[in-house]
Amino acid sequence: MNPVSARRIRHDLPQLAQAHRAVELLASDPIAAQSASRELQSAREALDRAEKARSDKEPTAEIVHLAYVAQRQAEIGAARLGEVRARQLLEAREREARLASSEAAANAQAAEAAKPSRAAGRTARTVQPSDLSRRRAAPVATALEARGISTSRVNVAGRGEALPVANNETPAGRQRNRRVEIVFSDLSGNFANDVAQR
Amino acid sequence: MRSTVFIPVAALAGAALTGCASAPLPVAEFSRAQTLVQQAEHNHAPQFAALDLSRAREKLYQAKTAMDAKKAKLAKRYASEAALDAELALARASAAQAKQSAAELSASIDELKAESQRNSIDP
Repeated sequence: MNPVSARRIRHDLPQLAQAHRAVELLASDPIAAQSASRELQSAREALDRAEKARSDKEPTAEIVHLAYVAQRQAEIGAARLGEVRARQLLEAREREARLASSEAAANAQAAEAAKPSRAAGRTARTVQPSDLSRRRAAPVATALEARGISTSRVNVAGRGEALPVANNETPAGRQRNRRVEIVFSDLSGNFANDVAQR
Repeated sequence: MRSTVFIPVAALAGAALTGCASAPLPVAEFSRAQTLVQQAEHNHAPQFAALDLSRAREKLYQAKTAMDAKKAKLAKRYASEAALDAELALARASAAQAKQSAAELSASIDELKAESQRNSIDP
């Protein structure tokens, strides 16, 4: 590095320094080369153009713009890596969930009979949907009873895959479909028509 | 003497400005940015990447203003920054969604495990 460029670095624009850091951060991620190579390359190219604009003494606005492009590209790459990691975690969790739910189904086979309907659990796709959703709702009834609500006033029902609120084909949608709804009657114990069918 | 130096400089600056103004407006870049901002709006960016999205909208607005003023270079700069901001909003939103799904799934696994344990202890 010659003295001229050393002096230039001291006069570095903060935006350019920031872009350099963002690009270095992305490049240092071990999965970047595999999962964000395009973003990393675009970021480096923009950074090179920014440096060239600076040594060509182009207007500051142009250098700052190019630095911005480099930084954003690097950040997009970093976000992609975050998503890749989250998806890997999600897949591992989904395997774990399948295991846990079949285990739970085996354990609970005997311990199921009574408790008529309400506190209706919903489920995403699983081994035995209505069974699982009922077990999802049961703890809610238990918690209500533990807090003094008479057992006769609480009904538990599993609705399985019926009444989805989100697309069951995506993990996020399935997650939204796994839910427990609590439905309150009026004072004389009646439900509105559209709820009564649930 | 002084004026003879000044006149060519002024003429040059004038030429540069005219060159700038007569450059073609970045119509494609602008509509690309517009599309990306809309995409971000419809893909949970308002929920998961609000700051990036608002930056993108702001840049898009600046790009529009520059387009209207026929400032091609400025418009192109803003449009490309808006597109990048929107892309970042999209990437961050989908990363956040995946993270949230994983966290929610973890919670329901824990619940299912606890329940399963309870059932096996007290059938």
